[in-house]
Amino acid sequence: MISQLRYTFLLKSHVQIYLQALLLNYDFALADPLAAGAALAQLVDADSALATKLSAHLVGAVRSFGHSLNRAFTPPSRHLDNDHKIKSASSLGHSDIFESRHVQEPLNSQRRRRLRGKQIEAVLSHRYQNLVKMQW
Amino acid sequence: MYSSLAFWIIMIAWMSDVAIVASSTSHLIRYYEYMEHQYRAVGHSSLGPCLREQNERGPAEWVQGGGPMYVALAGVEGSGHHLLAPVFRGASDSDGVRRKHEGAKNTDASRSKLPTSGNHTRAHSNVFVNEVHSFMWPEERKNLEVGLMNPQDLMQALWRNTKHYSDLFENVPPNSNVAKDDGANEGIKPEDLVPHLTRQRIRLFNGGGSHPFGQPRSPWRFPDLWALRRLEKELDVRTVFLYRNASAASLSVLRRGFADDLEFQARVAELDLVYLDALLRAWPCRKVLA
Repeated sequence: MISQLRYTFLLKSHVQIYLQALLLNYDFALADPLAAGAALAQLVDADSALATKLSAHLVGAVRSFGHSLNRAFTPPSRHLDNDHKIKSASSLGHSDIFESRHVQEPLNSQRRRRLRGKQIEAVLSHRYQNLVKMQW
Repeated sequence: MYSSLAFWIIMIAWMSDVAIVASSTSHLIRYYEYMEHQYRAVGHSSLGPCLREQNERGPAEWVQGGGPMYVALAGVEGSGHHLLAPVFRGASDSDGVRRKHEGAKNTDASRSKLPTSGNHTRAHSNVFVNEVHSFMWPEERKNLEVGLMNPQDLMQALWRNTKHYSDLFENVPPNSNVAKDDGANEGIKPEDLVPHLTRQRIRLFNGGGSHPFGQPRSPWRFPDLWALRRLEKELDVRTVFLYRNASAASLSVLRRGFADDLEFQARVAELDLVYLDALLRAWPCRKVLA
């Protein structure tokens, strides 16, 4: 199917239309910044030089984001040790997650942060379950 | 002999085509990879028909005479605006934001009015701006007496705030003042500048404006993309819809300290995501690069 699409694309690439919006997946941009850069270049009708610039800078931006990705699901403890925040999460109907036996165990601070991060992720994932499905 | 000559003519023509194609092969291959990914990701969704239509019609073209291109970002906060902003900045020939801070001081000379004669030569092709306030919710642009439903007013507000006139015209001094509506200061009047700008072939990369944006937290504090779309006659508006798992986006907001209340941020992101989803579905299918 994809090969057929490519073939059709090549055959009819001389037919131009007026595109105005690009749907860009964040995770895909991180995984393949060159392809995402090429899509950006198509959106802005870039010449070869600008297309190269867009791709190169996207590669650079992804590299600089690398360190923060490692802690994407490990929120700082100041968010997690806040009583109000836990109350807020509890009001979502997931108090059991924050009161699980794992949290009561003596953990070092790093492990506790990671565990709480996963718990918050679970709360959000549950809340957004339908929204994520809806999201294109 | 003639058949041989015809053969070589065809071969040369074919090889020249090959050479042209080869020069942009790498970008095209990458673009195909992107399209392949998107087909897998959204081919089953309501955007599937859009994807097939785009594959049949081919890539985008910037129509000559269509006016400056304005590239805007849209997406739930935490879905990659800070990833793309440096990309736009790096790909631009000029940085309107940097010029704002590092440019020449305002002097009497720099407050000169736009010359009424002579050629207005474009200095740059691609300019980076970080401008959202002129098409924000009215509360956020209270200092601007512009009508949201009047494209011309909105257009003037956009130029009034971008502060990169000298990037657009070589004969406009850096950091030139723009006259206020009440005539409190002298300077270039936006209405004098707009007719010239609309003939320029220039891309404006806007690196700002998530949904929501800035502080205080509010689900309706974001750039009004519908208002921006009303400028279709004056600008070639193109939008990058960023999408990311909503949970990961909300966690990113918490992690960076933009919000300190999980439930509130979750509800804000939820409302804005519903808005963006409806907005994208309302976009004409042929104008969405799915």
